[in-house]
Amino acid sequence: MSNEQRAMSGWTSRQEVSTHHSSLIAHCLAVPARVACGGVLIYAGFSKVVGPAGDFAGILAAYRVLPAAWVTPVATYWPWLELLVGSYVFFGYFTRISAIAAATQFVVFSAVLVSSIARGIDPNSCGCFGAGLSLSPRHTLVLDGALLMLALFLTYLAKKPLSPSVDSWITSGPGKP
Amino acid sequence: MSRSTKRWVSGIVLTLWPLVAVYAVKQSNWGPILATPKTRQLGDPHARLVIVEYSDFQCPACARVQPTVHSFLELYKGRVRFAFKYYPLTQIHKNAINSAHAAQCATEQNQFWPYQDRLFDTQKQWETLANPTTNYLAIAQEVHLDLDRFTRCYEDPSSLGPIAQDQAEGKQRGIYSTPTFIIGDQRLVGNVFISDGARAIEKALRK
Repeated sequence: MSNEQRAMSGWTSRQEVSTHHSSLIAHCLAVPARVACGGVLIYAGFSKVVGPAGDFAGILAAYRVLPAAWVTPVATYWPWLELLVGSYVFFGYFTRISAIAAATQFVVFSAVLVSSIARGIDPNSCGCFGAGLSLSPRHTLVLDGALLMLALFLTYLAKKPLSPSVDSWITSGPGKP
Repeated sequence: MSRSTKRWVSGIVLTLWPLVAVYAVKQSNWGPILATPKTRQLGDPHARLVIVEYSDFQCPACARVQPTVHSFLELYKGRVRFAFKYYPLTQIHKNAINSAHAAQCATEQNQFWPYQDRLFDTQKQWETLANPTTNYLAIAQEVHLDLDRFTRCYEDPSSLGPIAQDQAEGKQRGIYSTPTFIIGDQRLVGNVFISDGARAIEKALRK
């Protein structure tokens, strides 16, 4: 069947409808995924940044995954990175790249937690949310796993700008590329 | 507006709003000190710097740092405020919780500080006892507490509430040892307070 015949028979319009539906579903799924991944990162980063810097450094030292000289710089800058990546994911700015960065952070968190549990280091609280939410390392591992899946899903969905997002606002309108 | 301008504007806004939000929160007076009653605070109530100590009355290191705490309060008079938080390490100290309970009963009669000083001074006398109630009553008498009221409070489990509250907060903050001092945004654990406390206070006061 030629393209002309397909157009005549209405096959193409069904495909268009199907594509439109898939796109609509992608848009609908992307928002909750962005809110969950970005929201958790913003909350985690924010609660650590506003609390005493030493709190997170103490917890990081207790995990014994970093050389002592690295603990303070990592404890100081990592929460800001969470906050920044969380902000970009939440509002959909460079969504694909920020979702990859978020997924990388969730992989790092999970690796630290698995390593600490395997070595028998099991603090009362994972320290992920500063003085805010207190979750055990095991519960946090489950949360990180779920968020990692969402971040990877978002990476897949965000091949094109998904509205509503900052990316879609940037690409909308008659502006020059 | 061109796409490039939109991209720059969005980037700047999305990068700056967390900085502004964090600055606003840090300027406000949120923090653990709000949960500490005035009766467990020492020093100038308007002091800019707050030192929070998570402590356990049966912990030997907590007893050792007490003279340093008092000397710093004298040295930095008017510039620092000190807040005490209960953090009884119940897994390793059998009298940690009941000594905190006794101190809380002294708090209810506004005599926390003299009572805690005597608890630390006499720590070696009661730490191994199966029932140190007599020692706690003796200290209560020394610091002129109303003994009937003290006894009623000590027998009432509801007066353990503030201790549980401090413990929960300490766990959330990842406190794993005593004494832990929070000085501004720095944290000193154990005897380090004796050697590095002054430096940490000076640093916090300079900010």
